[in-house]
Amino acid sequence: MKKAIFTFFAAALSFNVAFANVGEFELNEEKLMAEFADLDAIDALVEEGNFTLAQLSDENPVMAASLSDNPLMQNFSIDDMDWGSFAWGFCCWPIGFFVVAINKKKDSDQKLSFWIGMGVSVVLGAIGSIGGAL
Amino acid sequence: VLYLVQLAALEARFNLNFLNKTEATNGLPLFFYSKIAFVLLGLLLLQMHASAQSYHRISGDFTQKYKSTDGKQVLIKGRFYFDVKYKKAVYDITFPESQIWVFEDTVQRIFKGDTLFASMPMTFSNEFSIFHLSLTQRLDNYGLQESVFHLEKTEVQNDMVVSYWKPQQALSKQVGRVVLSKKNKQLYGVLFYDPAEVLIRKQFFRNYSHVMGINFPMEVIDIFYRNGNEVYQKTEYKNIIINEPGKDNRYRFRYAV
Repeated sequence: MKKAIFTFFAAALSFNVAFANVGEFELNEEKLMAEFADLDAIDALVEEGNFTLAQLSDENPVMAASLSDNPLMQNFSIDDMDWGSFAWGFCCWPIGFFVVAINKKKDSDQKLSFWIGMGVSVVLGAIGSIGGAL
Repeated sequence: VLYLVQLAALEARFNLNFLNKTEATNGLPLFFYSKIAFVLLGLLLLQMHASAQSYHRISGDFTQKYKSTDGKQVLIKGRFYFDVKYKKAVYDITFPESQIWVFEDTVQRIFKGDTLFASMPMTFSNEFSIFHLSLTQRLDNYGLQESVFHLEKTEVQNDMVVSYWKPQQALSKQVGRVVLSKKNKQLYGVLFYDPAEVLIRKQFFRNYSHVMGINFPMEVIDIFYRNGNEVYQKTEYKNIIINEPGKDNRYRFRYAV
């Protein structure tokens, strides 16, 4: 009896999971247009003038100010910090190097968190040493 | 072989005897050689056709737009280059500033002029880039057929065919399910779930253009779900070129690290 009940609930769960995607493939076109309205306008201006960001700053400083100047470098934010990896870098980077930095199972955010932790440790260590010497 | 085919064809056409064959030596009439010639020519043409159908390079103009996590708007414009042989995605960026981005293996590198400016690890593989999947004509199933995923089931929803893909058991704690939808036999939407069945990303491929035998989506919409927020990203393509000759300095982009 228990088996039958379990099978029923397992089947019901799998049914729910399998059909949970109905409607997930709908795109809200209005929201999409609203989301990119500003960027589409900037894009049109850049396309027309064949500008770089520096040239756009001269042409339209307000528009240029809303744009990121180095997007690939800004993909990482404090929200992406993996504090465990940070701790490895901060507290014990020689072991953390093997546990995080060259570990293929760790993702880029974890590796970057490790290096940030290590950098902070080095900077604070240097400040402490200078302070101690004075 | 080509030389013999040409000779046999000429013999057949002008009733000559370059190959110095006689009824006594080979016992075959001339029209027999002409038939061989035509068969071989046919095979040759088939081979040429097959090689013409192999796609190895793609390039195009692209524009990417999104809002970054720091609230700033991001606009990136340039031209991308991808060669299946090198598996390097090279982006010749013109906006915000002139840079070259090279995505290769597990590293993304930024060059300013010829100088390496920064390098960072990357988590995705070029094997699953839209460029590689298009050139190898596997975009319709997102390359999942030859991956660690296996097809769970397929169903029809309105004008879409929806397929559900599960990761191998060994990876089920790291990777979640992927759900694909196709419209008119072309990939339309991809849903990515984490192992706890939480939706983490949606991707839509739209406005397909048929370029030299390849269907390429000219617009890709990404929706990322992070900390309860939706982050939209739009990538538009134009001026797509397939199997472009030359420009090795872009497709290959050699550098010293």
